[in-house]
Amino acid sequence: MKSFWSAHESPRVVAIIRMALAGILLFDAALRWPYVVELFSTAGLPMPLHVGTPFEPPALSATLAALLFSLKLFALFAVLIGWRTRLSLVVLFVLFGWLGLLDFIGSFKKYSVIALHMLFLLTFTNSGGVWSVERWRSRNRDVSTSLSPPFSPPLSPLWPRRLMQILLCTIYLGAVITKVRRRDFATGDLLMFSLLDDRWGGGWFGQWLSTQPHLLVLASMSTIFFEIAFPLLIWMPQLRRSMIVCGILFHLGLAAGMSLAVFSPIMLVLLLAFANESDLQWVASGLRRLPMMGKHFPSRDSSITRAPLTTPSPPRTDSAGRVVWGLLVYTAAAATAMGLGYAQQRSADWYGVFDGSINERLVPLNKDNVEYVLSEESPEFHEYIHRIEIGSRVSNFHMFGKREQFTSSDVVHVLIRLVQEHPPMELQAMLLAPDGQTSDQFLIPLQTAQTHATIGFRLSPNMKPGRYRIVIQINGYDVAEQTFELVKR
Amino acid sequence: MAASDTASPDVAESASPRPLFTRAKQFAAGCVIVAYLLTTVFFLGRHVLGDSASHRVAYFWTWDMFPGYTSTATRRVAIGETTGGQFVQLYPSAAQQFHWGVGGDMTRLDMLPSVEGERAAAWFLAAVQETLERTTTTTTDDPIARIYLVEEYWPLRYNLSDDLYEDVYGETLIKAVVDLAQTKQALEESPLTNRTHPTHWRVLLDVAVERTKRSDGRWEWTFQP
Repeated sequence: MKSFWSAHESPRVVAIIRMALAGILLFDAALRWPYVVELFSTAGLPMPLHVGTPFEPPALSATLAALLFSLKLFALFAVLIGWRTRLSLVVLFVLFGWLGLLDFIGSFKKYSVIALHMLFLLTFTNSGGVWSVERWRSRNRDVSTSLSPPFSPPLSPLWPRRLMQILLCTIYLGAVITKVRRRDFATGDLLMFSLLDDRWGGGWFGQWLSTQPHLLVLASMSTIFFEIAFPLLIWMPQLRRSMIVCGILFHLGLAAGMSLAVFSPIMLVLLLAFANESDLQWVASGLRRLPMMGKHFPSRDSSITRAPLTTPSPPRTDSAGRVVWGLLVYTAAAATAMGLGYAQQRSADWYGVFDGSINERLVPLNKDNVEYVLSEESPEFHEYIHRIEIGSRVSNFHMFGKREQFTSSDVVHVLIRLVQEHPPMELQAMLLAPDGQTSDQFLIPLQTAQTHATIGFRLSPNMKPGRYRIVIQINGYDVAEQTFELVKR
Repeated sequence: MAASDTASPDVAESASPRPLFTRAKQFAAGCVIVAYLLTTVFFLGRHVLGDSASHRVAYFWTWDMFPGYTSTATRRVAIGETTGGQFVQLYPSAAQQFHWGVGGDMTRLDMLPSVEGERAAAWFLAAVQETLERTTTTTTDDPIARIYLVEEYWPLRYNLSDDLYEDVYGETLIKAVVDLAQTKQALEESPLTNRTHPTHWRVLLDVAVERTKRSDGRWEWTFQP
């Protein structure tokens, strides 16, 4: 147990996490660059997470917002390339939290919080020990002094990666707790409506999935199964790689089905917390076999092979002058980035706040249109129905069995999924024989909170074979129709 | 706990004896580990009990993704009525350029699950005030006297692409309902909506606006429901 926390390891895995996370966050931040004034400054409309509490950071002027966001971009780039990595991670953590707390609606979703945890934990690692400017500078220095021993990167403490692993497990546990509380998750309805949602819904694949009721149940139950299984099984060495692969597939599936911004990429990076040096070897050997990649991964002796893993290397001590000079260069670069960023914001002035000459024209609206809007006309009755299905068996708000042809011993079930919230309504279902005569009918009152209505028409040997129609009416208005064939046994 | 990679040669135990600085670092690391784990366990426990908002910090430690979705889609518009009886759109305005969502057309107020709450209403009024301040010259002669926050909504099934909609509802719903393209739009050629299917509207907030000139020459706006 002691070694579980206190061991040290090669910094390669955390270096990959550092670079991947910084790359994703840099991409996400770059997309927000034109909106800095709107999201974070008093010239726009910051939406803080906790208004009027110590968790509401000071609001920023447009100038300060542009400067700090530029610094955030610089820190992200510095983390990406591993330049003054720990300092850059600390700067990034502070700015990421500050700006995020100012705009939780547009910038501080749960994936941002996960990223914040990862940045915090990365500051305790030696993630800049390899594949970084720091490493490159050290190597050059070692080469220049012929008496120096061959440089090996200092090891990194294992415990921050352990906490990332635990973070991932608690994310899955928390998510599954949320899901099992909701009855409509087990029926697939929650997933169906999420896939159609304007905020987080999906493209064509997600929309198609939303039309497949049975697949929705399978996907929902698989999600619950995975989120319970992962935190339990990932610790078993025999299953570790399998669970990582399951995790990768799970998040790729989420990314394919829904619009979750950078949530899936961040979770894929967090999954890397369960990778280790042998996995890197495995991936490298796989890549080596590829025709065009072999030269980039030449041998086990080169950069991707293991670090000497005995004890943590003693930290190298730079001279005070060298440290100060390095910090000065870093500060100058950061100041330059801020200056350039501010100049760009001022030059583009997307919101017209820097030259102080705002006077927009308002968009005029047609009076008739506004009166229609203010009349609050109710939806038509058919718009309160989301889906209608028929089948010979009904269970857990889903249809099974026959759908097209029934025999006289069957019961034809009709399931109606209602849109929330609907007013109190009266639903009438009629079974019409081929000659148009009503064979059977039901009248059901629908309460406001009701999500489903089910009706069963029991067929009998007295009924003539042929094409039957089920007509659904709400408050006397035809809204839907289903047909089926009654055949002889 | 059996960790998969503790036994591997990829990790090495820390050497001893250690100098004082190393011991101090290890103690600090131990404190961080314990604090992190305790906080994680505490908020996971609160979440298990269903008390996910037990503390403001809970947002940073509660993983409640998939909290719930409605079966209707919504977006929000603010309409201003001037003293002269004209109507203008106050929200979204040129100040709301940050759009996202699947269609890339949602503002941040659209992302809020509800605008009926006090906090969300305050944000909305702040957004409207921002627009009013950006357009003072425009509204000098005919100032805004009333503001309506209206919500456009429609059943989520209308979000389906045409081919999927036809597949699912083509033989179920009555013909007039299915053929959405032929359904007459209530708001033709209006900046209020760009939807190609029927939508409906409800008024979420209806406030009177008063403005007074401050001693520094700037306008101050007050909203009264």
